[in-house]
Amino acid sequence: MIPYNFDYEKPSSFSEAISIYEKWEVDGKNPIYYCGGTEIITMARMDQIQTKGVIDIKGMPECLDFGWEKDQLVIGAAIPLAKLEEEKAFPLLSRVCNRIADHTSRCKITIGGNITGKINYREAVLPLLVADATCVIASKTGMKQIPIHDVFDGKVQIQPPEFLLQVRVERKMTTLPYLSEKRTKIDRIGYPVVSLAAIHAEDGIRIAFSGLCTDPFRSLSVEEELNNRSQSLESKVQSAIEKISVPILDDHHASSAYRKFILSNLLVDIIKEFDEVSE
Amino acid sequence: MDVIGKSIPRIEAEDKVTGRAKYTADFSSPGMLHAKLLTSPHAHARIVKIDTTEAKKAPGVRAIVTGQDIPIRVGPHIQGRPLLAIEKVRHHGEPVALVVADSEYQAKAACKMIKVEYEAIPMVLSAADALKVNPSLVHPNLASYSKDNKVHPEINTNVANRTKIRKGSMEDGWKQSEIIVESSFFFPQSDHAAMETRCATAEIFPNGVVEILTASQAPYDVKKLIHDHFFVPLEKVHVKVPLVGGGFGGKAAVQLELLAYIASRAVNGKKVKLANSREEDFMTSPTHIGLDAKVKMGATKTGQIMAAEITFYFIGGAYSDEGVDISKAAALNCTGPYKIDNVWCDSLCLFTNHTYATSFRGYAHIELTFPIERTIDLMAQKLQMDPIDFRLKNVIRPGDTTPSCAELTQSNIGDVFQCLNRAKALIHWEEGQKTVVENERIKVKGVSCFWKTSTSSTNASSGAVITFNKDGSINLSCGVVEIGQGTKTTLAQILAQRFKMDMGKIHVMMDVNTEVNPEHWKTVASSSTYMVGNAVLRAAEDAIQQICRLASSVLLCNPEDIDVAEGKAYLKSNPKKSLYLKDLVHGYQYQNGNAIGGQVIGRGSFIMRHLTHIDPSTGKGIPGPSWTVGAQAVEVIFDPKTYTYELKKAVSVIDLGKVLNLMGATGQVMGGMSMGLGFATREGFTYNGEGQVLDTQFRTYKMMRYGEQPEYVVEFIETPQIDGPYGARGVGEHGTIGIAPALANALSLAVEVPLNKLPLTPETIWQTKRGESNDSL
Repeated sequence: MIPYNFDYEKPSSFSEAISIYEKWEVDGKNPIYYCGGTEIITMARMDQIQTKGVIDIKGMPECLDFGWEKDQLVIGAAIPLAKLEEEKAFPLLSRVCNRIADHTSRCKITIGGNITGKINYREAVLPLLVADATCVIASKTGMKQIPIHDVFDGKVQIQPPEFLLQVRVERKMTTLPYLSEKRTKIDRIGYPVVSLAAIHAEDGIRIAFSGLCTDPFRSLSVEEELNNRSQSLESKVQSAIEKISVPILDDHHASSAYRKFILSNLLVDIIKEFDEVSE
Repeated sequence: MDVIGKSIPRIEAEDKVTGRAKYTADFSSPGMLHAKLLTSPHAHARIVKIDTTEAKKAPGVRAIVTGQDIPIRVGPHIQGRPLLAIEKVRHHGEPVALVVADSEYQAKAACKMIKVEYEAIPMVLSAADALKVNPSLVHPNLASYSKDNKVHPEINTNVANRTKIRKGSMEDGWKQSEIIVESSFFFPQSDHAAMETRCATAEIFPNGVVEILTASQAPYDVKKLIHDHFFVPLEKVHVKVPLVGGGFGGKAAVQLELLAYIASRAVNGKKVKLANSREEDFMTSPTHIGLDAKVKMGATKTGQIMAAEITFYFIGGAYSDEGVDISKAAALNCTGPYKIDNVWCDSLCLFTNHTYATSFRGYAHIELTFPIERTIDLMAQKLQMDPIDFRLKNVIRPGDTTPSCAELTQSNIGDVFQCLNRAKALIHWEEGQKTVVENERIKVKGVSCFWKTSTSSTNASSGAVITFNKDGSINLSCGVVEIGQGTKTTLAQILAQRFKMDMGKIHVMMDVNTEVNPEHWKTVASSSTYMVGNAVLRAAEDAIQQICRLASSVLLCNPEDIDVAEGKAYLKSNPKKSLYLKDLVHGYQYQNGNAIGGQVIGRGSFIMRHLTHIDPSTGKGIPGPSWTVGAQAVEVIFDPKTYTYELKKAVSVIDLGKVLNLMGATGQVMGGMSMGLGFATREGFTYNGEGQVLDTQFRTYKMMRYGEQPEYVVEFIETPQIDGPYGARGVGEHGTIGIAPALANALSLAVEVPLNKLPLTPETIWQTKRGESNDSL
């Protein structure tokens, strides 16, 4: 039960959404954009989110788009993870989505919400990072297309009233060999101790991580080490781990030593598997 | 007409599976108010100031109550717990203030407006913290609390209770021991995690009647406590309990009912509901106790156990509640089902700055069985004996005595030997305890044995009343709460069997209402079928005697010439000469209109016999009426590369005396095993450095999921308990008890290091293998 009252609007266009946002901001309502609601409802209940105005973006067509537009896969921000899991348009994304939360939650959690939410893991972003996806952002001046690497730096760097409308992925990225692995404290379902998504592109392995450090990331210097042909498998992995420039998490889900242990096992497996594919 | 042993579906099953069954929180009424608790963010802190000025002005607020408004202390053995914190808080989540408002969200919003100033006090967050020299004291005023004379708190320490077992001669025991094993064990507090969170409503009527509706396993305790603490005459306290969505011991503790009463009192007796959120159910209401234990055991080279020295340090949390009694029960049964003549045990319940603990399925036995059964495996390993052979050599039998020197008979204990042999066959022990399977994974098996007695009050009693409808069908009234265990279905079977009548003709009143139902001690300790079942049989006997007496004057014979079956009273010598029960149970009417007899009302009662208090210096005494025993086995596939494992199979063989409802008993045991696996593999609270509970939601407090269940195999052995209904023994908790050590025994074999700490997550196994320390002591 949410211990406060708030206004709710479900506009049918992004420009309408933006103007509601601006008005409510002036009114001191601390507005938030709303999609699947799994995070907002559960956090508001615990008083971890305060708002007097909720703007539901599920009413605008761009957010509900899903399909191919020429050689681009268009995914609206309001598409639930369960749908991405079923429709295997981007198999790596389907696989990653399959391991986020449980099925009941996945029917509600949207890709936009998962990527832009407050819970740090944001695992749905991993395939987008390795696939060099493009973000479509609603702004006062219309839609903007920006490479994900310019928008996402651990968290989505979009300043409200702008918000994420869509993500787009090039077809060729969806056809590359891919792998994804997730380890939790114990259960199949749970927050990641380490979650990773990788593809084998022409230029080598691309890989992104969640659960390992505070925020999800893709690191070119880690990839460089993993693709270093002059090194043995073990030393590649070792040097790759050393290249992780942010501290490895140490919390009640797992110690950092255990995370490193899991990570090095997973990296060895991934390199081996990709090697088998490419041979 | 045999219904005993049949798999009769639960009589409330249809209501449950169609979603029509109602639980406490489902009941609302117009004008009902809502209460919410403000709880402590600190584990141990002095309350400097509480300012409710702003909160009182908040919309919808009717009343705010704080600790100083209710200067009483409660608790089942030591009365040390204030209903709302007084002077200081002793655990994260402790209630500090209560707000009553028109709606729940308003009460919740107002709680946030209460300003509380705290001053930190050094915390006691482990057994080691509690026991150190000059410790921070959780209860500096322990001496001033009233208590019953069966607990032994140690003033100016954090020891809430100490129970001693001194059996035989330790000197002789060690002298005769050729090998000795010594080890330490640990598991943290965890939760009952019942599907239904706790909830209570209270209303005080102008005539002084207090009506409580609650999700409780102990409605008669609620009644007594409202009387004891608020001086309401007993006959004016009416406690009602609808179906309860899982108790597991956690709802035998009385907490929200007293708070709901105060809330109602604060608003002039209006009806007030107080419902826990999941977070409150985890941190504010009592939990499953934690344990630090040390076991030293000695045996001859041929594998005869000669001595055991056992120390239990129970992590009881901020208040003693049932923790002190759990620590006692653990001492009295400390060896598990093994014959050991020389036993020394000190069992301590410690005050710590955790949520206070209460009864949990298995009551002391799930706790004691983990260290004991791990030690038994370590002993077998040291002796290079097969762990099953070693157990079989030492299992306890009729003629032996328990650690508290209670005598075991053919009736009061089951057959551990037979249970273990059957479990051995069912887990296919002959295939080997450890085998390598595909991808270098290892298949391992572990076993354990267990026993459990009920540790009931020595005068615990139950009643049953049966009345008849005019068609001859029967109504049964008793005080057992339906918590999902299916006892009421079993009681209907017992009654149907005695009347040799169709089950469909028995109606059991599902809800409990202390105003009308005869008292049953508490719905705990796997003892309802034993206690109330006996009361029901006596009520049936009483009614049958009345029926036979009446029928005898119609059929012109002696009452002894008559028996009852299939809805009739008939002449034994000529069953054709019979009368329908419907023509007797509301009085018999002759053709001329004259009537004799009257309504038949059967009454039956039961009281525990021969239980004794416990000698404080030696632990001698008789704790319970019987010991249900069993053997369990677990098979897992372990991956030495990732330290993950897959649960493949879990086996329980339990001697329950007599199977009354096969599927019912099997379901109870299977559910218990699943709960045991949750406890063994993942459940357990973690805390931050401030002593705050980190896992207050199912997001991170992990439980077994449906897809992770192994294959369950449940079988029963039937060694009758002579004084049990149709020979039955309790079986509600037992599936839970030995699962954790069976799993730990299997995994210890797989990783080749002793795993003596729960829960067994891949990380904890990995850490142990790397040689990190297990013990907080």
